[in-house]
Amino acid sequence: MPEHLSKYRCKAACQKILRERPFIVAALSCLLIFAVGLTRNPEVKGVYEGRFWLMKFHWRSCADVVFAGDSRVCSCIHPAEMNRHLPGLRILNYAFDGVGYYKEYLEAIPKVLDSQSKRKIIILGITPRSLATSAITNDYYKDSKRKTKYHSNAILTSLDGLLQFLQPMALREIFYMPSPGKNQQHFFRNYSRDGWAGRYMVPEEPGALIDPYRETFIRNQVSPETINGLLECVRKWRNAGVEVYGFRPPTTSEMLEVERAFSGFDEEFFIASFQAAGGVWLNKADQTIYRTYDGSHLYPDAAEAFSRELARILSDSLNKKSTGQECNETGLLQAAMM
Amino acid sequence: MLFNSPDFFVFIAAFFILWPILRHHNGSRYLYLILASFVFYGWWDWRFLSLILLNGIVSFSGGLAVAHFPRFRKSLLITSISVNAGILVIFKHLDFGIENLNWLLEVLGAGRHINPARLTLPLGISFYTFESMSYIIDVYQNKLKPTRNIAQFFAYLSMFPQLLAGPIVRAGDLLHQLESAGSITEQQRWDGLQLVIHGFFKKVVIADNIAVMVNSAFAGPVVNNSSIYWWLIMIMFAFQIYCDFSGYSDIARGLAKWMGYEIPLNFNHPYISPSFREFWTRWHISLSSWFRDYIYIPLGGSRTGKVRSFVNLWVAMLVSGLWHGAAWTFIVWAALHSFYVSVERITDWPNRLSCIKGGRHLAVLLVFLLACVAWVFFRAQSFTQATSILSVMFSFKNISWNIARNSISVTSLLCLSVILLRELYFHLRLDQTNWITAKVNTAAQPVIASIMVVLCIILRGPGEAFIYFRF
Repeated sequence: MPEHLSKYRCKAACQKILRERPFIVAALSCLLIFAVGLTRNPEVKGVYEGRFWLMKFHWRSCADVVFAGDSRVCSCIHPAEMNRHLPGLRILNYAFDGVGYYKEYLEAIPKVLDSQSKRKIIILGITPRSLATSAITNDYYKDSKRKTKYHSNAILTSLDGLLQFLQPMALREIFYMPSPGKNQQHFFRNYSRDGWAGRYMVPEEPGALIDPYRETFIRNQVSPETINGLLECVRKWRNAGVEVYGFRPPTTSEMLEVERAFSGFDEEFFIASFQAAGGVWLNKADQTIYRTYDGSHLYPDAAEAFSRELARILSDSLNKKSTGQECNETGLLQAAMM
Repeated sequence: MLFNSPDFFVFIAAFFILWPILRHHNGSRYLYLILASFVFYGWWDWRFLSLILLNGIVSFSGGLAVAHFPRFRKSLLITSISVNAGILVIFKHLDFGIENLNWLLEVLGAGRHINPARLTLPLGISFYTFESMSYIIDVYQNKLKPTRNIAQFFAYLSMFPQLLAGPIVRAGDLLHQLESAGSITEQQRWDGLQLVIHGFFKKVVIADNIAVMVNSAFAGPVVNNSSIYWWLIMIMFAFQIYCDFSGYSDIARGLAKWMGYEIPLNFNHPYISPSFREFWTRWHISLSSWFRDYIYIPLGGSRTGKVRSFVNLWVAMLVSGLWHGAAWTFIVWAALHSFYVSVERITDWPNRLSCIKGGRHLAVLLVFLLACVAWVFFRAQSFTQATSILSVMFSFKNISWNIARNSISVTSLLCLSVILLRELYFHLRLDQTNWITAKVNTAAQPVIASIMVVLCIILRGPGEAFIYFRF
């Protein structure tokens, strides 16, 4: 075929394709999606929100230090920040929103630890809600279990940016760009690969969760069975050579008061039982100095500060332990050895 | 496999890569269609493919036998229908029967209790069973020549676009189309794409966003005692089920167009009907015409006297209620519609009302509101819940708009407004007005379609299975 004829045919074919309306729709849609993606509200950052929990759910044999607990732990433990004081340790935040210390979750925690690790550490964030019966009904751990495997597929991991682009938007998010100054509430979330969820609200609502927690605790108090199950696991982990620590995640004084008055949680008794089971209690002198956005969860910068502080306390404790010292400091650190 | 799942997008892309190559030869076309349809269905649970196989073999061999053994044609028809309908009844209605039997035993003081079978309801069983039954009945009535090619028959019966939730395509409409590769013009591709986009928009944007409110309202005991709230919820449900189901039908029809085939229209703006008789010619057209042709007319239709025609109507409607679900609430829903149509036939109120100025609009509104009342039984979890909701709706208490506004999300309301305006557009026949020139229209269509695609992505509601999957 002569060259000019071949070129002509090729050109004609291209023109034919370009005239196809489905092609025009596909091209135009891609452009529009891209444009919307560029202008969309940056409320959600980091790992694709729909898969953040699934990613955590599927962690196996990949950490030296594992933090466990509910949303308060999820928000306040920033592993990357802790690594500055604890270099060389692989730290993961294995906390899930709404989770309770029920059997299934407790069994999953040590599986995140690398069996080849020289020092295996589990750190439990203890909140009355994670020990109450209500926390056991619905949470992101169980929700992740229900979802199919392809959500956590490695191929999809590389498509995070694209998935973020295609994520659904609430109406308020759509109207965020033209009117950012309006009095609308926005919930900013940054999901890290190490399991930390840095979150905050604008404008903040310092008392938002006080009443809901009070109502929750009136209906569902701390369950002795859950505590016993947890302490049993602590014993088991200690016998297996795992170091177990516990701490109370920081929150507001109002929330502490609600928890003290309505949850049925006796902190002193719990700490004594925890220590008797072989755990080490890491205690900050003042839990209420950190800023929260909803009366319960820390702002990301407060979480970073708390993580640094906790890393320092933990580092001291680990050093003392490795040099065989008994740790009985009071004040800023109150770590009790078994 | 759900149309609104990522798996489906991979599946359909793979299907249409090979389809242009394999569709030209009869054998490869049938086998490819069957294979694709079986993968599509088996993705949910491959074990239930055996039911489609059994259903198909019974109907295919039954059709051939009816044509070849004229002396036994009636008994062969009955056998074939009994097997297929029997499978449907066992999987769908067995527990309903046991439940009622237990109630009867308790009333009679027999002191016995039969445990329910709790069988999993195979997806789409009501749809493919009705398709295979229409095939054998058409063969029996000499309306259709039975096919001798089992692959062609299974390509028809299992064709994936309409397999799970219809439309119920008659063999007479599709079998002969499958005999050829079918022409696929640019116009067909465009029409198909538009149908798919509109279908997805109705499903993922309108129905799924409205579903959030409706599901939460029906999730537990009737707590909200605002009359306006429940009317709003029922109007929402009316449009949710319409958009959900017609969305599926649109996607199915669009995909079939891309394959080169035509599937009949299943929904034609039912909520702008000025009478219930018209409503049933616009709502789930493939099912209502199935009941008309295979139950109502064989029973004598309207030719056997007035009283008998009412009996025939009620029988056809009540069976339709049972087809939708094995519960008394579905039977009450069907009975209400039978009642509406019966009253309409006796009084002819829609025509009388249409004579006065604005009467037609009023008739449309009345039909819609009465349909909403019937939907209460369709959607309610139990008879008790339905009656509680109706008592609140008709108490006309707490009709303050604020109560409803505080309980209903803005997104759901916005989606409802969009679909209401769309139906109003067709009701006022604005679609027949030449707003813009044909040239502008041609240029605007791809832009509108692209905007709808983007809206489907960014405004999609929480992914829900199509409602009619459970029927």
